[in-house]
Parts: sequence; C-alpha cells; structure tokens
Amino acid sequence: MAAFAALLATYLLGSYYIGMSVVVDVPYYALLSLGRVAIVYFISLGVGLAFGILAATNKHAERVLVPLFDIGQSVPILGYFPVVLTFLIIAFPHGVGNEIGADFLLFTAMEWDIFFGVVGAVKNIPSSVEEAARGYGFTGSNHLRYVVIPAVLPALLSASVLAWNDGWTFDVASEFVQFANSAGKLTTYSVTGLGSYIQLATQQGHIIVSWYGVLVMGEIIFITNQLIWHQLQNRVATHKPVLATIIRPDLQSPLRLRRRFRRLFGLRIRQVAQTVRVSEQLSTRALAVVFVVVLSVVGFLVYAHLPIRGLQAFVSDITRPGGQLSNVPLYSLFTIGRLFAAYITCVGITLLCAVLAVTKKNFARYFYPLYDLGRSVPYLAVFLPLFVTLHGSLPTGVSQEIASFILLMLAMVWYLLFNVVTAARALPTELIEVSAVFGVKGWKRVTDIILPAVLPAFITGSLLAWGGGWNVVIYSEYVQLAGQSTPYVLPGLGYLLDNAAYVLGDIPLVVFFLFIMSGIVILLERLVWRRLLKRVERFGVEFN
Amino acid sequence: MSATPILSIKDIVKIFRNGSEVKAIDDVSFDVNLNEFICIIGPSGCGKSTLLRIIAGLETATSGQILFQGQPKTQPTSKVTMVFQTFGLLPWKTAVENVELPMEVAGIEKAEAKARADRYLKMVGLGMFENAYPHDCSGGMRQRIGVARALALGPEVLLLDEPFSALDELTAKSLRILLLQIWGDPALPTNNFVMVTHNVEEAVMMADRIIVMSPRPGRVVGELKVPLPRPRFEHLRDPLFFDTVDKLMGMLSSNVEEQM
Repeated sequence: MAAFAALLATYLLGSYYIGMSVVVDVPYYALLSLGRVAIVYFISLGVGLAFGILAATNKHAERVLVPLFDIGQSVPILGYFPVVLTFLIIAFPHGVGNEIGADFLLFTAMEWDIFFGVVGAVKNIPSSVEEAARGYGFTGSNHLRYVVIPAVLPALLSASVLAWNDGWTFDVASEFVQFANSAGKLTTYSVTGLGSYIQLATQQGHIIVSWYGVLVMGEIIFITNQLIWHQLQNRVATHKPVLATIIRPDLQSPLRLRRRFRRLFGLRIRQVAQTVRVSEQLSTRALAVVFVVVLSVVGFLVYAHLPIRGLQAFVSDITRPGGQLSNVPLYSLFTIGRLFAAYITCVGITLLCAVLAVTKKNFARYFYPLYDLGRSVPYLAVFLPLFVTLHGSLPTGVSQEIASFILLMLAMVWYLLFNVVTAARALPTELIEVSAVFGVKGWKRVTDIILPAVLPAFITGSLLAWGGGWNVVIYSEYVQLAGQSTPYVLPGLGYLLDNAAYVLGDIPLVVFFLFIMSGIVILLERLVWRRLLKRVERFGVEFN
Repeated sequence: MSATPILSIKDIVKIFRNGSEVKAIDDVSFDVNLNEFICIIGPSGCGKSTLLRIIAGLETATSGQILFQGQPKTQPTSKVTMVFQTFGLLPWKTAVENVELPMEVAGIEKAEAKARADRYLKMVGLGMFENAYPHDCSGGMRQRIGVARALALGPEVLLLDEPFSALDELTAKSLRILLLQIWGDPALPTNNFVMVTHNVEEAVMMADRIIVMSPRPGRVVGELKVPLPRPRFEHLRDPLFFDTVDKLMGMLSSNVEEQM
C-alpha cells in the first residue's frame, strides 16, 4: 500500500510541478518498461534453468556451456551492442529489430547471474542428499522435482534479485541509442519505455523531467525488490527440508534480513568459486578452442576487409599518429585508469564499512536498508542527466569525467560493499573472542584480524566490480546529444569502439576493438583477480 | 590448600535478554586454589562455556564478580588466557606468527617473542612446523598451536573451553597427557587450569576437583574431589578410577532425573 501511495504521490507531484502534459504518459511508459524487463527476465530464467541444470548434471554439456557462458559474461555487453543492433535493424525492419535489440541487451544483462546461480546450486547439493535420493530410487523427473528444483530455488531467487536490478539498470541503454555518422547525420534507435523517456527528455534539454524519470525508475526498482523478491525469499527459506542444514528456519525479521544477505553472499562466493574451478579444469582445452574460434573470426574479418582498404592503409593506420589503431594502447590505459580511480575510491569506502561492521553493533541496521536503497539507483539512467546538469556549470571534459566517475562508482561499489560487509559480519565469534582474550585492539585488530578475514570476499567483490565497471565505462565515454554534430567523448576504448561502430561504420574495426577489450577484461580477471582469489582462498575463515 | 584462592567466582548470575529473558547461570560460586586443576562439567545448556567466558572477561556477568588474586576482574588480561574449542587460530598466519601475535600486542620485544614462540612450539611438539599454516595442520596440531599461544604469555591461569571435543579420541588422549605434563611442570609459570568439558572420564583423568553443573538455569549441583593419585595415566585401570567415574556419572544423571 505504501508503495503505491509513494508512486501516486510522485505522479501527482510531478504533474503539479512539471506539468500534466509532460508526465501524463509516465505510467504507461513505466508499464511498458516493466513488461519488457519482466518478459526478458522470464526468458532468461527459462534459459538459465534449462542450460544451468543441463550443465551441472551432464559432463559433456558442462564442457561446452560453462566456457561459453563465461565468455559471454566476460565480454562487455555495451561493447558489442552497437554491432548486434545494426545487424538486427537490417535483418528485421519496421522497428522489430529495435525491440529485439533492446530485449537482447536486457537478456545479456540478466542471463549470467541466473545461469551460474543454477549451476552453483545444483553442484552444491550435499552428496548425502544425492546419495539418499539415489538409494531410494529417485531418477529422472522425480529427481528433478524433489531434489534439483528445491535445491536450486534459493539460489535462483538470489540470482533473480541481481538479474532484475541489472536488467533495470540497462533498460535505459537498451531503449535508446543515438549517434551521428561521419557526415553528421543524426540517427536514433529507440523503443517506447521509461528508459527512452528519460533519454529523450535529456536530449531535449528538459533536465528536470529526466531526473523525474530517474526517480520513478528508482522507485519501481525499490518497490519491486521489496514486494516481490524479498517476500519470495522469506517464504522460500521457511520450508526447505532438503537444505535444512544450510538454511535454518526464520525467527525474527532482523535476523531474516541478515540471513537473506548472507545467503546472497554465499551464492556469490560459491558462484565465483564454481566458475573459477570449472574454468580451471577446462582452461587447457575448451578455452583454447574458444580463443581459436574468436581469433579466426577476427582474422577472417580483417582479411575480408583488407582488399577494400588495402594492407598498406591498414599498416599505415597502425603507425600514423591519431589513427584509430595507434591510439589503442594509450586509450586502453585511459579507460583502465578511469576504472581504477573509481575502484580505489570504492575500496576506501568498503574498508571503512568493513571495520565499522565489526566494531559497531548496530551497523547492520543502517547498512542493509541503505544498501537496498542505493542498489535501486539505476546508474546508467543517472549518467546522462548528471552529465547535462554538470555541463551547465563546468567545462565539457571535466563534467563528463565527473559523471563517468560517479557512474563507475555506482556500478562498482555495491559488489564490494555487499561482499565485504557481509563477510565482516559473518566473522566467526571465536576469532573476535581470540582478539579480545589476547588484547588485539585498534589498528592491530584492523590489519591482523578484520582485513585478512574479509580478503577473499574483497577479491570476489573486486572481480565482480571490475566486470560491472567494464560494462558501463564504454557508455560514459561517448555521448551524442541532439543538436550537436559531434559527440562528447572521453579518450578511451569505449570511445574508439562507439566511434568505429557509429561514425565509421567499420564492423571489422569494431570486432577488433571488442577483441582487444575482451582480451583486457579476461586477462585482468584471470591474471589478477582469479589468481589472487586462489591464493587467499585457503586462508579464508569458514562461513556458515 | 592455600589461603587465598587464585581465582574466586562469586555469586555469578547471567541473564540473556533477547526479546525474552533467559537465565543462563544462576548464582554460581566456587574458588580455584593455587596450583589446582579444576574441571567444570555439565550437560549442554548448563552455562559452563558462558561461565568460562565471564571468567575470561569476554562476557559480563549480570551480577556477581570474579576475583583474580583477590582483585575484581572484568576485562581480559594476559594473566588469564584461553584455549578455544575450535582452536581460534588466524588462518592467514603461520604457527609461529599465531603464537607471536598476543606477545606482540602485550608489548614484548620482537626477539624475545620469537624466542618464546619457538620454545613453546617445541614444547607442544611442533618444533618442525613453525612456518606451517593452520590449514596445513591436522586438528591435533592446530590445538597444539592454540595451547602454545595461550601459554607463551606466561599466564597464571589457563582457561580451556572443551579443548578436545573437536578432536578424535586418539589425538585427544595425547593432548590430555601433554596438558597434564604442562600443568605439573613447576618450571612453567602456568599451574592453574580451569577446563570446561562434558566428558566424564576426561574430567576424572585430569582434574583435582570437579564442579558439577545442571542446566536451565545453570547451577552448581555438586563438587567432587578426585581421590586418584598422580600421574593419572598410570592409574586409569584402577578400580578407584572407575568408582570415581561412576560417582560423577551418578551426580550428573540424578540431576537429569530431577529435571524430568
């Protein structure tokens, strides 16, 4: 009831202060976007369940599906979206391509969490349960119905929360794409919805209206989280005979709140560990095959492209200063630097919160509601209004950098905060007692007890944060506003990518950049985060 | 028996307030005399571990007080240390680093701390494993590290919270013998042990005096002086040992029947 009252109040206030004619259609747009996100969510759910259970129960399927989904997860969605969209619009004219494109982007935003959640959950069914099921002759559909589905349900719900939020965050990017080609001709692809409403308002300079749209979207995310997901999670947790050892019955609501987060956290850790483990096993063969396939596609595209532009032109482009290719190393560093600046800030905030979570008793009471609220901010939707707002009083480059920084912070900080704070709160009481008995206090306690204890969660959070960051950094480096013949850009890989796709219309170049970007993402993940995670995993405390 | 007890537990009451009130410990008093090995025994829920935590200064009593060498004690001190049920080792520190940490905190010089850590790890039989991490050690080895850590500070009183219940019986046996040797060694400063257990044979094998507690709320329902001569492991087949075990068992079960 309170939820609908809030929505109604927002609507009435909007119509009063902004004007009835402007906001009259907002509920309609909101419903369209809600429908779009919901439908794509159900598709993702079906695909994730089917392929997840298949991958977790069948060795051969696992060998193919897990690397495939892992690559899909590693390649930044917004990087290859222009290519896919261009293709879809040619293949499906009359606006159908636009809709499929939007749905595809949402799908890629939601699918990975669900798939890996399902795989992790099925693989984590206790072997005693599996043995008992086999002993009592559960096979086929019985096994699925009485063992697999109930075991998957909690993880599925946790993954759904993440997917739902990610879907909404990418809604604004999926519904509205605008660019100008080399001749300065403006092209807009859009589908009707709240996301395109926000974008359009910004484009037309109605900055109050776009902030209003962001507010409405945030409210919808928050309310759906509270009304649907949290309710479902509480209900599922209460009758779970199969996993009774893992999930104890609910007692009181604050406890329940904490347990919900703890469960979500456990899923994340397990999910990452699972991916690491599976991809370690497969790294030699399957990944090599995938890389060879990708390489040959790139090779083919470059080869097919060469007769047109000529080998010489290609080489000279690499060596010529200011050429598209010669910029790659430096621009990659710029993009990494941008991510790093936001990451370091997030790390500072997170460590502070981790220490507070251990030392302050009622920290959780304030943290988790704030987390819920903060997680509801659709950061991609915030970016453009923020940029335009800042642009009013600051130089272009500065305002775009600041808006990009805030966007990246909002995209990265939750993964870190969530993992680290939950780990800090789950610190075994015995370790806290040990530090009390032996007088380990103050800074010593931070460096010798708290930080090492949260390190695995910290690295897991970092891995996820960088993945999320790569996804959105592209978005912030290239902004095309209506009435401008040239876009606002920040030097970086995202700019190169969007420029190649929209202005140059050079598909091989786009694929090349995409390959480089994915290469950096995968290298960073494998060489830095996963390696670190493996190293600290054995020092981890036991979480229950 | 000495005139002033090293440790006096006086009228301890502990009430947990968590929505409703639960009385965990109800007016518990006893003394620990100099050089005495005390066991607190009772079924689960009798508040024995909570009592040990109050003595350690990890929990505060609702009323009553702990006197250590005649002075009220509410905070943890390096004079009273503890061995934990699941060892409480820091997984990210090696054996020697785990032992050194409390000494570092207590302001003991680095070289001295290192020397002491070496000495105590050797004493518990882990001279070769100084640089091993806890996850490389068996349960028995981990608890040996826990014992070395607690002793390295040279405490007057050692508190032991079911130190063998997470170990298999063979490992537990050798650790019991080790602890008895440490307790009986006049060269070591730590000769006052207070151990919580629910294992009857273990209590009879180790303690001078056994405090028997009953559950809900935790109360002292009896006290038993173990008449068995030391070294105890030479007398584990004496009829006197079995008689004492039976007597203690009787004290525990008569109390359970009362509850029913």
